[in-house]
Formats: sequence, structure tokens, C-alpha cells
Amino acid sequence: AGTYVTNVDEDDKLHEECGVVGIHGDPEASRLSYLALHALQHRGQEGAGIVAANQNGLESITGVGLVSDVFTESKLNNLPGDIAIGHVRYSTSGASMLKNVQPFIASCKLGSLAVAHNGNFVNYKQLKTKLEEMGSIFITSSDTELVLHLIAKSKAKTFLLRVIDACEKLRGAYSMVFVFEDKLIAVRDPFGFRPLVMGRRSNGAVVFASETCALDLIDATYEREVCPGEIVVVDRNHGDSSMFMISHPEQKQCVFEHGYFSQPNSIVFGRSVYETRRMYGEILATVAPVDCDVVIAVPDSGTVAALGYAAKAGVPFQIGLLRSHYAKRTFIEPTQEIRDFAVKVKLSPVRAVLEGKRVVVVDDSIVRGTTSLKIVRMLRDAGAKEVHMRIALPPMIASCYYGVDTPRSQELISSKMSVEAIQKHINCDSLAFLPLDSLKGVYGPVESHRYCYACFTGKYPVTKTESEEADAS
Amino acid sequence: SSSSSPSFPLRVSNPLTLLAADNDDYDEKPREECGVVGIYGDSEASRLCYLALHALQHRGQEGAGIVTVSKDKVLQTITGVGLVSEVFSESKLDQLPGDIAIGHVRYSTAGSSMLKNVQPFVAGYRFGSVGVAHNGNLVNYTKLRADLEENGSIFNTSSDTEVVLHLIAISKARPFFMRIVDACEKLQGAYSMVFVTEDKLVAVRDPHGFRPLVMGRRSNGAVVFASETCALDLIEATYEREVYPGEVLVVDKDGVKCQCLMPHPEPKQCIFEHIYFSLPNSIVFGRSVYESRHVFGEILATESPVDCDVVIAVPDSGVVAALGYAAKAGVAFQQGLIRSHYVGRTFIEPSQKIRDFGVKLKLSPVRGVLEGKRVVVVDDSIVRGTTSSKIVRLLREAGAKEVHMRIASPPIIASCYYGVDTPSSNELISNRMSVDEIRDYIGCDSLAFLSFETLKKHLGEDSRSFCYACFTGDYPVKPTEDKVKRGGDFIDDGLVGGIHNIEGGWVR
Repeated sequence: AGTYVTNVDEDDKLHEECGVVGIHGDPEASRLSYLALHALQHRGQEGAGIVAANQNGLESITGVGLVSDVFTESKLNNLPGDIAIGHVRYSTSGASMLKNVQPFIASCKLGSLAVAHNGNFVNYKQLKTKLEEMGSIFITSSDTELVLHLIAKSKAKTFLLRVIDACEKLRGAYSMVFVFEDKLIAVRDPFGFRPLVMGRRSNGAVVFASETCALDLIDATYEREVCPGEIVVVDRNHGDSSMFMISHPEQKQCVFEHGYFSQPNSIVFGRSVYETRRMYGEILATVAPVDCDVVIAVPDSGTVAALGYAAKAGVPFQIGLLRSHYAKRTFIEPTQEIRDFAVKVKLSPVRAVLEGKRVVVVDDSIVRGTTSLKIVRMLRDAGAKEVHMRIALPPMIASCYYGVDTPRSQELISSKMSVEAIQKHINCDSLAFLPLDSLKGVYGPVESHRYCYACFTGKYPVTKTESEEADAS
Repeated sequence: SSSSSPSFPLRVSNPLTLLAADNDDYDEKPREECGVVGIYGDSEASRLCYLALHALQHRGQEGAGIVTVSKDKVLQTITGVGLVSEVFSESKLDQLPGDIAIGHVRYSTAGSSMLKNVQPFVAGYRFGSVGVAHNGNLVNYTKLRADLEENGSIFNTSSDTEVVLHLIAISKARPFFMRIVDACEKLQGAYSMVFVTEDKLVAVRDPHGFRPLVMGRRSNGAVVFASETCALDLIEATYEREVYPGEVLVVDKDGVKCQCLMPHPEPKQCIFEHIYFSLPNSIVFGRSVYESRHVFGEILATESPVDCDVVIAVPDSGVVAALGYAAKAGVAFQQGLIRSHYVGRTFIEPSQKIRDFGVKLKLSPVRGVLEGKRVVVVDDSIVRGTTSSKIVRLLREAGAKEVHMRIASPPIIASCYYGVDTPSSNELISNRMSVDEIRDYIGCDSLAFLSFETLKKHLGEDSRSFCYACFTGDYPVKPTEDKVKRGGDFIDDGLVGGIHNIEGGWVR
């Protein structure tokens, strides 16, 4: 037999590259971090870690795999303390490396600190080179390690000032949590690319997390967003306090958090993800109507937009494609090729919904177009008379440098083909994307300026000074 | 002044207690207890078997196994605890060459899985070796086992399936398939089974047809049997037909031969395959599961309408019925509850109790859908009622103004003895309470079930072909003994220690 192992995740979806959690003031901080990380598992499935602060200093457990694979009861018992930070990670390469799993811990002159980071530093290479010239050595290939070095090298007197000093040198996207002594610190970059929210438990414990769905699971009430450019410090004696780095006139929050990455039940950038996604679908039905018998979704992330499309179009929504929730990242396939195997192992068509019908299938995005092609073929094989594809975001033409694992721009099908050419390539009867102006219209004239559209326009809020080298966090 | 160091209270608990605690949430749904696969005539039988088992993973997540026949006619087995993708690897499948294979996925009825109970089972007897994989439950297992032990047979597992191997071994009939017929004539209850010998694949379905079993064929002529058509779809086998109740199919180099066991005037196929167990894209008992569920929802909307603003589902199995309800009621369907697909069987929880933790771990409400709304929530069934009450509370806490629960099956009042893991009858909430009392117990504004009479009317001429024992207490085959698979049965299995000790114990 051959050695055929299909990487079934090497498909047409972008991937968020991290989720972060921080908890201060709860005797079960590590357990709650574990649960909060579980709620953020959709942001990364390849590695997880928790650091807890206790009498012995900072203690860490990290591992490769899902949160439930990495942690056990006994491991969590080894992480006592009422302050903890945690991280889930999606690997940008074929295999995960344990050394790149956060949170990272380092010792410096002031003591020990730990950090967990969601985002990407676009000036990583430049800063790394400079630091190495000054004698720093790097143990990981993660850009996050940079922060630790910058803090250690800083000449500022207090930890907080060192964090500010470090952040002023960083360019790109970062939502980070630090633990140092009895303090928990949350930082968000001035553009606010990646989400970070604050919540509180009934016992007064303060919680930070990438998304509100993590707060919900551990009974923390959502309080507010960490604002772009804000640093929030929580400690035992003074409660929480915040300050701002250099303010920036325009936020640039990642619109894909609403379009794809975050959980529908989360509130991200102050808006309900569910309601936003549904509006994308409704607008799509208005700008790109077509005669059809049924509307279906590419599950799971396309479902809410499809419901919006169907409601607006006045056509029934049905479950036309089922997703297997047991497919792992790699799968063993037969040496005799089963056509479209990688898609078939994860998605199954429901013939009863599709046979003889004119079908609108709603997806959130098209990246390379390879999966869309297979889905259209699968739907036709299951008896669909017509297949009309509707994409609930604008065409992606450019790569992301702020913490989203994207193929290079030239690999993106929309950067090299027109909509008509893509339609022919994936062999659907019609194809339409949500127009960029309509996307902005969802947010309105004021709010729309607070989002980053670089992947749809190629115009980057932070100048791209180098190609991405680090494993973004 | 210096403050004292904070203390760090930690929970140290018995892992078995955790398992037991978590089981409470899992026991809220009836459980299918197996999926089976058989493949004849494909050089990659074990790989295809593995893929087909993956497609049947929803029928069992705790154990998986495959048996193949090698060139020198030896039956080779690999079994393990866990998901199909966890049990098998490329190198393991390479150890299973051959063009005949059978496979099995299993859901454990006890708190933890036991490797030795993972099928397929293989035994040597006077005339060679035989492997078997079974979906169902043998209601006369205890008596048969006692009789067999009385006559000198010894048992290695606590699985009812093992009696089949013994019955085949002691049978005086020939050829092989007649031994199977002989054995089956002694069995009572539910069985969809596949057997493998040195040169044959055999599929058998009990005369009542409780559990599904279908036949398909690949373009290279290979014959495939599987519990559901979704397994055929994944490996590009074309669905040919059902294995009929009471049928024995023998596949060998001479092709497929059919034999019939005792005919029975009325098949009694499990209606819950359409309500809950099978995947919506499967055709089960010759009918589309999706269409059945959609119609159940439509009927509910007709029978039990209520003024509401939105219809939602308890995902995943309640979704299709909810779509049917919403379409008929002319009200928008929304995704009001999101299910997490990363939850393992057991989970570590904080010692400070988070209210409704087990449900919150798996289901998240979408406030944007629920706040201020009159909500209809559709589920496929209610068993003990504990999960339903937590869901209602979850919805109210997320801002729902009213919560109306609609159940797309009749009230379950009786336990199943044919291969579905259900609590005993007295634990079933519908066995003890009226609909109004259940409504009060789970705290919803109104509650309605699919009516039994309407369900039968919808099935039309086919209605006599289904088993409704769980809704009526009228059993097609009288249970003559208590349920076979109980937690207590596993206490003396002889396996010392927990699941982690199993890792090195692959059966070969």
C-alpha cells in the first residue's frame, strides 16, 4: 500500500491563529482558563497551554492537540494559583511544534513573566535581527518571543512601562495577556485588529478572552471590549486600571472575525456575530437574487448567512450538506483515488433536499477555489439541477499579515480571476460575492472606518515592510 | 503589615466519579449501540472498511475494530478504544491486507469502554475461523449463555454477541451458512450482523428487522454491507437494497446468494432510526431520514401551533424537524443554540459548580436570536427531562420571553431491549408524568409531543412494519429478562485499572 495521508484541513478556509485567556482573582484560575480555552477551540486546534501564578512563581503546562487532549485533572491540579493565562494555537505548518505552543515564560531582571498572543508582528524580522545583534537568542520561531526580549531589554523601571516601551516598537496585530507577579495585564494594539474582551465573575475575578463565548461558559459577565491601544492592569491591591498607548485616529478591526472566525454566539468588536453574518446573507439576497427552489449552506460557518439569504429571498432553507464532526486533520485514504475524497470525508450531501432542485449554496468565502469546485460537483452528483454559489464576503485578493494564516496573494483565486472566470472554474451556474460597498454598508458610514479590508483591497493599514517569516501567534 | 499567603483549595476527585457525573448529560439521549460494515472483493477492503466506519461514527464513538482475511486465510484483527481515527493509523491498516473485511463501531453502555468487548469478535472452531460484528441486542442472552456454560462453553466477554459464536461452534449443521441459520433460530431480539470466514462474507438481519442493514456495490464489483447508506456513499458504493428482515446473504467467489430465516408476518423496524439515530443523508428502511424528520416537524406545527417569533432547534438531531416546523408555521428558523463539536466524553469541571455546566459546555445560546422573543425550541425526544430543563433555563437566561418546547416524537414510556441503550422504564419522565407535569418540571411555557396516532398515520401502510415499543410498552419480542447491558455487568470484566492501561493491549 502507498503512504497516502490526506491533510483534509489543507482546504479553502482561512484560519485564525490563536485564542487567548487571562484570569485574575479566582482560586480556580487554571481550571477556568482550561474551560475558556475550550470555548475558544475554534480559534485553534493544534496546541494549547496554561500558565498559573502561585507561591512557587509561574508554572506552565503546554501540549500539542485539543484542549481536552492536552489537559487532565491531574495536570490542572499541578497549576494552582488565582492568576492564569492560556492560549490555543493553530499551526501554520503541517506539524505543530511543542516549543511554539504558548504561553511563553521568560525570566528577566525584574522577575518572571508569561505572555499569550493573538496576532502577528509585521516587523518581526527586522526587530529580531536587531535584537540578535544585541546578543539575544531566540528559542522558537514564533514572533511572540520578540515581546519577551523587548521587555527584557527595555530600560524602563517598572514592568508596565517596559510593556509600553515594547509595544511602541511593535507594528502589526496583537491582543495579548501577560502575567507578572500578582498582576494580569491585557494589551490590544492601536488598530484593534484582533478581538479582546473583558468580563467579571460574581466573585469579582476579572477575565480577559478573545471572544465573549469564553466568558459565557465560565459564568463571567461581559463588561466591555479592551479598546484599541489600551493596556489594562489588574492586580490584587488596586483592582483594574487602564491607560492608553499612542492613540490612533482609525481602528482597523478584522472584518473576518464577523465573517468567519468567531463563534456566532459571540459579541465581537461590540457587535453580535450572528446578527452581522445574517445581514451579510440578507444583503446578498438583495444584490444577487436568482430563481431557486432551496437555499443551503456550506456548514458550519456559512449557515447563518444562508439563513439570512433564504429569509430575504423568501425561499426555504434546508440542510443540504452535513458536516462530519469526527474528521481529524489528517485522514488515511485508499490508494485507489476516491474522487473529491478530502471533501467527502467531511461533507455529505442530502439527496432528499437536492434532487431536481435549483440550489443556492451560501459559503462565507472562497480562498483557492479548490473546495468550492468539489462542493459544486458533489451537489450535482446528488441530483441538483442548478447550483448557484453565493459568497457572503467580498472576493479575497490579498494576503493577511495580521494574524490570519492566508495563502500568498498569488494563490488566491480572486486575485487572478474575474468572477465570471471563477464561476467557470468551479462550474456553478452563477456566482456572486457580497460587494465591498455593501459590506461597509452593514456597519454604516462611521463604524465602517473601524475595520480592516486589506484582504479585499490590498491596501494595508500597517505598511507591509517584509514578507511574513514568523509563525504568527 | 504583610498579608498572609492565599490558600489554594484544589479539588481532588475520583475520575470514575467524573465519568459518572458526566454520564448524566449523555444519558439524556437514547444511544444507538453499534454500526457494522462488511466488504467482499476489494483489494483495499480494510481501508474502505475504516472509511465506512468513520461514516458510521455517530452510531458509536467508544470503540472500533476491523477483521480481514489474509492471503493465507488467517483472520486478522485490530480493535481499540476510541474513535475510528484514533484506533487506526496508516501502519495499522497496512497490517490488515486482504479483500474481505468486516468492521464495527461501538458505544459503551457503561462508564468506560472495555477493549475486550470491542468487536469484531473472532473465534476458531472445528471447521476454521469466524469473525462477527453485531448491531442489536439479544434478549435471551442470559439464558443462552447459561445453557452454553452448562454444556462446557466458556465466555471471554460480557457481550451478548459472543453467544452467537458459541452457537455456531456447537451447531451440527453444514455448510457454514446453515450453522448461522441454526444459531439464529435460537436467538431472540435484534440483530443485524456481518460474519467473515476464510472465504465468505455473510450478512444476517433478524426476522423483525429492528436495526438497519443495507447492501451496496462498488464499480469494481465489490459487495458492501453497512448499517446505513451514508457509509456506502463515502466509499463510492452504490446503494442496491436493504437486507430484508429474516434474510441471510452469503457472498463468495460464486457471487451473492440469498437465504431466508423464519419469515415473520410483520417486520418491526426501529422508528428511532428515523427520529434520532441515523444521519439525515441516509436512507433507512427504504425511506429518507431527512424527509421523515422534516415531516415530523411539519406535523407538530399542524397539531401543536403556538404564537411565536422564532423557531430554533436543539442541535444537531433536532434541526431538520425544526425546519419542518418553521416552514409549516410560517415562522423564521434561526440558529438559537450553537453546539460545540470539541467536547470529549468526559470533561474536567470546576469544583465551584457552574450551573448547568454540562449543557453549557455543549450548547451556547445566541442572544441576538433569543432576546425578547417568543421561542419554539424543537427537540427529537425527551428521556429523563434533565437536559430539557437546563436548555429551557439557558434560553430564558439568554433573554427569551417565552419558551415553547416541541418534541418531534411521541413520549418515550418504555425501555428498549433491542439494541438501544435506554434508561429503565421507571427513569423515563414520560413514564411517570403527564405532559402538563413534564411541562411544569422543565419550566417551559408549553410542551407538545408528536402524537403517536399521527405518526402511524403518516407512515401509512408501512406503519405496521415499525416497532413502537418505547412509546407503547408493547414489545414484539417479549423481554424475558432484565436488560443485558448494565454498568454492573462490567465490574468483573477482569481488566485492572483505567482506560490508560488499555493502550498496550491491542488484540491481534
